[in-house]
Amino acid sequence: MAFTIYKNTDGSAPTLSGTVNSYVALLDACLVNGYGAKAAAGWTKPFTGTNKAVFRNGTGSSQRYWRILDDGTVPTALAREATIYGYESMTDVDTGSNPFPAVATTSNIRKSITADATARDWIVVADAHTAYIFVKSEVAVGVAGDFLTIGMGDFYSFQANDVYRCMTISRGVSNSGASTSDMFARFEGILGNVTVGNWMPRGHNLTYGPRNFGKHGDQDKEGATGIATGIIPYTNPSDGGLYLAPTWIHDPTTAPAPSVRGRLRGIWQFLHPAASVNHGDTVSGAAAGELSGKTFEFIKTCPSSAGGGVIGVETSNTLETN
Amino acid sequence: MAKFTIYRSTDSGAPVLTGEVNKLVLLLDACLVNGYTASVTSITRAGSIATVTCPVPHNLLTGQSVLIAGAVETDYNGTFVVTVTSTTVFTYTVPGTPATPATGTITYKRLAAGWTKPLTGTNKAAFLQGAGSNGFYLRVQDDAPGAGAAKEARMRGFETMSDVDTGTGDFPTVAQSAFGEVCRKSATADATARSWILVADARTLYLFVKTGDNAVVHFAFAFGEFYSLLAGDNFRCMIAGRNTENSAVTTLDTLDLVSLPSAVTSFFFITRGHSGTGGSVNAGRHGDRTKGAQLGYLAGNMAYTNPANGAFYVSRVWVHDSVTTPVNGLRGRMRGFWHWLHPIAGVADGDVLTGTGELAGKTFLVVKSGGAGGGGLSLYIIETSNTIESN
Repeated sequence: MAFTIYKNTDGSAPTLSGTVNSYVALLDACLVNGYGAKAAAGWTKPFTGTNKAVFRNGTGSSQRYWRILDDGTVPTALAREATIYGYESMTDVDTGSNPFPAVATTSNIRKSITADATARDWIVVADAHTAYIFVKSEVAVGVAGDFLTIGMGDFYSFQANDVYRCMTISRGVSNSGASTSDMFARFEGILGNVTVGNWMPRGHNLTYGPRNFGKHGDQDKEGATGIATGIIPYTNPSDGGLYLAPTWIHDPTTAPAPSVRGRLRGIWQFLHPAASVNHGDTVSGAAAGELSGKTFEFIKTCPSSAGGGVIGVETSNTLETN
Repeated sequence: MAKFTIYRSTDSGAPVLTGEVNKLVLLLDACLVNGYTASVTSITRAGSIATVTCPVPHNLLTGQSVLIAGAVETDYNGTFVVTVTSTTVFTYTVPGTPATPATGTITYKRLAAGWTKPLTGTNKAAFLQGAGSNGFYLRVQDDAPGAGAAKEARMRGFETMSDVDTGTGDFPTVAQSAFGEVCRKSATADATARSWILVADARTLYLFVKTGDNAVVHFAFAFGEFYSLLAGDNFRCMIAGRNTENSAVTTLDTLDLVSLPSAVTSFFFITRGHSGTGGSVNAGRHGDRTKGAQLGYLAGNMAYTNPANGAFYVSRVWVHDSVTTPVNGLRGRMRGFWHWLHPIAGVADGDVLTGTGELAGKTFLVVKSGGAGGGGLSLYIIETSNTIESN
């Protein structure tokens, strides 16, 4: 399978701003309806309300639900932010069971630093199973800056017939634009370390209870910084190689622990210094290496204050899929 | 691809390692250069399958080659790939239809790894890597050279040698280590036999010795080729031993250590950096730091087996270079040498593991080592299948 990449620079693309419902409209356009020359990713929107909607991933996926509340009611942040909660099942736009994270847990989406109609750059990477939404919330359209990121949908699971292979990756802070609070491109050790804002509904024992999972790539080549960058020279002097690590999902809490549950689909940790590549660069894996047959687009993401991160989005028809 | 041969002190006909002079030379001679023979109780044939029964456990692995000799019915004689059916029985495919059972004084020989020993002296020798390698030398000084007397030997690599005491391109250099690398043979400078395992092919060797200093820990020494990422790499050779002479301390063993790519690993030297100039470099090794729980040695802390899929996890061990500019480059990977990513309690010394998933087709031997605590906290995972990366 392959992702479609949607960008605000596409013809007829929707506009994201700090106004109510603009995030719902963005997901609607990319995931459900398509726009311009871009076909939709294959999700549905089974429930809607005023400035809120429920999105469901499509055929072949876990087919769970993600409720987006985009009505400007986040305290102080107002329409700068929306909220996102995954649910195992839902019956209407306000009613669902087995949320992930729990509804008492902060799970926010940063849309814009201003609660107004200022347009923001965005990138949506999605197929019918999984969506990643990158938003440059603080700088003007077209100006360099780091993207804040939300993840929703399925991960690739190691567990046979894993009908709970779904996740919500959001911001665990409210009314904050801090790039250091964005946890999509953050990596942890495996011993008791969770990544804030990264949730799945069940551990490997498949008993419901939101699990705050952790992510890791290659902590050695990363230099143990916890950021989506690394310390290997670009390119590697011995073979001229590009080095990326898959993003592993680990569960430090469900006994026996710790364990690895799976990998984020199509999201790779860049193992060279962030300055080695530019935002938007595309590369192909070496013909004979482990990345053979794969292509990638780099997205500069947060946290910029910790040196910046680079995510390699797999753009070839090579995605791991359950 | 390539496959290691496993030699053990418990093999019939194996050399004996003690704390006496020259015993390490003799061990390497037997395993790397000459091979060694063991007797056979009987050989019978059914169809094309010859069944060999041995008087004592043969310690062979399916897929290994042996040389059968001494059968009057000569079709039985020759070099064959064996299939192990029990600890004392193996089979092979015999050409023709020789009479059964075979007669004569029959032996099987565990083949040598394919090295040569071009240079010798009194209680010292230089072993030369075999076919396909860079052809570098391992000098073994086994004449009670240091404060550890005959309990230890001094080891050093050379790019070229003209006699057993003279060479160029030494690694480590004398400046890097006056004594080279230490290979500890025994806790006592006497004739007490010590348990050992040597894993080798013509390019690379790993030696594990239970010296008697610790009841469960193997002390380790490694020399030879790593798998290089550098095309046409004429200097893809490493050496790793103990970093201190005359010590029984398990934590001074260095082969089970790993470090970040920005750091060296103690007493791990490669012939040259990726620039191909400048001589011996103190390189480093790393595996999977996250699943390895940042321990700094070859173990981890993932649940065993991983609950989501029932699998065990190991990582390749990378060779990195934090010295040669541009620094922190990846040079290659240790051949057939893996990082165990679970607590060591999950498996026992001597276990054989069969890989699944990305490790399908690979088998591994478990050898217990010291770890940072020194009490048997790390494991060497040695690839025993015919799947070893080779340049």
